[in-house]
Amino acid sequence: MFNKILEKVIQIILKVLPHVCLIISLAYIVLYIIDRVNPSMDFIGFWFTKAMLLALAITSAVLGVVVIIFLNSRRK
Amino acid sequence: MRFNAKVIKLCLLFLSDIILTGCLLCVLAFYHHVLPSEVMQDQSLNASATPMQDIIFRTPEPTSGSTNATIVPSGTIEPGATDVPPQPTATPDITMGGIFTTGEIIQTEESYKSKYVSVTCTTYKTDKIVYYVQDIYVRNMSCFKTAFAKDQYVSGYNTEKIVSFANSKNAIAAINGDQYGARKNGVVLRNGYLYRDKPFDDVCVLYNDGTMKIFTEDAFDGERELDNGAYQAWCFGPAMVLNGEAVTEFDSAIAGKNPRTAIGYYEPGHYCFVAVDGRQDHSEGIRFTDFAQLLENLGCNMAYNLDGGQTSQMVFMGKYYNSPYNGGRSVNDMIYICDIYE
Repeated sequence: MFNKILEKVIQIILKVLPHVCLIISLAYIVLYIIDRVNPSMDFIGFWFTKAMLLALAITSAVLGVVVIIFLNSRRK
Repeated sequence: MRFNAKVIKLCLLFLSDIILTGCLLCVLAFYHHVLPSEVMQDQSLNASATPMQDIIFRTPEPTSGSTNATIVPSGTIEPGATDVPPQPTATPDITMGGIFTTGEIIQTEESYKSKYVSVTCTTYKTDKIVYYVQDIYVRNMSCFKTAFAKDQYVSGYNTEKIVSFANSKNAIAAINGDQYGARKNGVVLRNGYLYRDKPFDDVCVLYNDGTMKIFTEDAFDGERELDNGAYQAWCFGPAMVLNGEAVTEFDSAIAGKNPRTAIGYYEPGHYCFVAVDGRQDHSEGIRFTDFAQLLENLGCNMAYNLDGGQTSQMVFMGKYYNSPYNGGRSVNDMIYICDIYE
């Protein structure tokens, strides 16, 4: 029962988190380019961008852990 | 067929991700540009008005031969000396050689002259550009002011149309400022109050004694300059003219041909506002290098670039004096000249 729930959670994470990572990464790349062109806008130093970067770090970490667990269970 | 469906599904998946990325950026732009933060009443409105000292002009030299000069007897008598004829000395010409008036207001389509203020507007046309110069003399620095839209310092969206804004302040002449609200950093020191001290580029400082200095980002310290008598400071830049020489190299993404606004400094009490039309048929705009040269040719000792593009706007006696691109955009702040009515 527990294994089934865990599997479902892992499947959801594997489905959703890559998209979250992709969306945040693309947004950050856009902001980085704008910041290079017009540094006075200070998009990179803005709290929202910092929060986005933190979200990217958390989702990447979770995704990394889940992928490792998933690959490990598949190998077994 | 099956392969095509898979590819289409994958493409739609990526497209939805891109759309969501756009949505995320829109949310960020809303927080960054629109949502007001750091809202504060214009502190100059609360402060009790302390009269500033009149500016001591370096030029023109008051001459005893001036028609407006009055000769008054003066002189000291040495102890013991008798019947020493008083030596005539010239008192300073209060019109400064005709720059100001003795009290009356003389106003034309292109100029305004009173006891405290003199503004002369000139339009220059070349093959490629049209630019406007407001030559300004103020006897007292309290005639040289800045104002926030709706009398509020707001980091975010808080704007007014410059013509109505200028009229609400009884401005004789006005130009756009550095559009401080569009950024979360930059120095905002206005009418002797420091609102924000986060320089990101050259900082232009106008002092209570009428002098102007331009600092690099690293050299500026808001509190220190406030102690040194800073009256106004803008942070947009870059510096165009330093110590009478045009800056020749610029590291900027907006250095190409654009509408421009600048403030120029000749000497304490003598300044100019300059606006260059751009992105229009009659005037294509000006590059930083050419703009710096133009300001040097005008004789500026110091000159500083303010926000340009659609923000570039100049007002004289309640009307646009330049032709702003696309009708001009609403501004966060403006620099204006007003008179003292006795």
